[in-house]
Amino acid sequence: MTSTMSETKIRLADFSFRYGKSEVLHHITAQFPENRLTAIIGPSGSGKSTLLSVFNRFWAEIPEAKVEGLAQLCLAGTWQNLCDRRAPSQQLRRKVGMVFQSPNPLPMSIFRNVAFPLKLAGVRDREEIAVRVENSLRRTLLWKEVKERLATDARSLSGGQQQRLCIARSLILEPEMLLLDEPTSALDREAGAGIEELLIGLKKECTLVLVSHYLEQVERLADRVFEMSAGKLRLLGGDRS
Amino acid sequence: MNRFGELLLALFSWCCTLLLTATVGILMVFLLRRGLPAFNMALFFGDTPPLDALLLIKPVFDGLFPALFGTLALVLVAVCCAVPVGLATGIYLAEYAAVAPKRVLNLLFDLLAGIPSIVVGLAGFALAVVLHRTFSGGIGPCLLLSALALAFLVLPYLIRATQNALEAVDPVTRRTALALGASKVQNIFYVLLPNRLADLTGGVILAVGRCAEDTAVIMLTGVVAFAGVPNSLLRKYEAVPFYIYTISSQYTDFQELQRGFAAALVLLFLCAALFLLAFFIQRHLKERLFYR
Repeated sequence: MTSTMSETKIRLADFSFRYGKSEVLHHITAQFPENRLTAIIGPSGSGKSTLLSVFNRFWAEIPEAKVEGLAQLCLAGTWQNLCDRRAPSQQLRRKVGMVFQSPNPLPMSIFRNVAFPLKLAGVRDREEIAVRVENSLRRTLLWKEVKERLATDARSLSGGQQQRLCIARSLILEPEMLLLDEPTSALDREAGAGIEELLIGLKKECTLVLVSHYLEQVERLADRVFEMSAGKLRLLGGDRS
Repeated sequence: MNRFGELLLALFSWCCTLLLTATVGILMVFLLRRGLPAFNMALFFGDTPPLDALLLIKPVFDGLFPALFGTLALVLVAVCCAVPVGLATGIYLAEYAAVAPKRVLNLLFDLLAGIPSIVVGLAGFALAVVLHRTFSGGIGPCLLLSALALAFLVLPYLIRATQNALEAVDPVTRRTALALGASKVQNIFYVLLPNRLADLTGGVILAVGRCAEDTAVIMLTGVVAFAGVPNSLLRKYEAVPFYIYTISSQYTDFQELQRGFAAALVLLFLCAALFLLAFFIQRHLKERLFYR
């Protein structure tokens, strides 16, 4: 199916999500625009992260999870059904990057961490890998800080550097969309500001969905804001882009 | 718990550790004192020139060399048979098995771990008899059969080590590769298993030690006192633990007993060497997989 709404990246219609018998998201209808930063705010446990897990079909990894309604993502002009548990998700997740609340570098070197998605995607050309790792680290303004120690353990970096490394790792496959689950909440103010600058630059190139607790941050960054409350999603204001 | 209780518990733990360490130390000193005087070339090669023995030009009749060779071959074949099966079963239990079959299989493998080695030896012997009858005497007790019986004996350790290692991976690491587009198999082989190499090596070391020292299984499945260096997996063979057992039960003079102690030392050194080898392979692999 070809996209008829090129400016819409994700569309949800009467979408509900259950863990076992308890319904976590209730009948959500919403649209997320392409190449914009859409923020979702709301109290802890309201279902924000659960909604993010729908966008890269991560919910399908949880056996007790069940979804109803319509959830679609437009990738390269084609609508993908996010409610299909059995659909292969590897390609989709390579185009929908995810950055978690706490930095999650794998226990390996800085270089191998950033290059890891290329390995998963079957890229074997060492020169190409080196170039793409460098580009990705430059985009996240990390290259100058780590270029002399690419072989050291990524976990030896500071929290802010680790989070930028995780973003660099997500960007190396040039995703169409990046999901950010409170990416600055585990960082100090300075490191958080660095990540925010990075996100402002990124939203020209890909669609960003940011889950955040900080209203000031959302005001600074977001083009569209949704509020999640007790599993219900509500639009706060229009498109500010 | 009050302060006195805590102190008492700490003291008790410290004493237990000291007791264990001291026991191992005393055992080592005892073995060294009794075995070292017999530790010479003749212990390994008897009257045969060492180079001729090592190149398998001349047989060794009165030395430990054939037994050492047999033990090494036995450990190698048994571990090579057990590791892939143990790893695969451990992966299945940790990553794929549903709750109900997992419970049943866990119980089954715990029972398997508790089977006395003599029972496994008897099963191997029964298999040898069946094979002997089926192939008209072509196959009987031999090195391969011993190795297979030992592999069966150490399988529960390998399965449990793999399963525990995989289940101990933290949830963040577990979901990271999946979120980056890894398939389940890629996640297992690129992230989960390499991250728990130390635990997996621990399982293999345990298996190596058990294969090298077990006597009950091999006594019934192929080991003999004099067989020379085995030139086929289907031949009978000698092994160091059986050599020690034979000497300790049938020695006729002090020198022979001393050779038994020296053989025990050799078995200890052999196990230590194999453990070190496993450790270095693990370190090299980790360096190669993650940091180069």
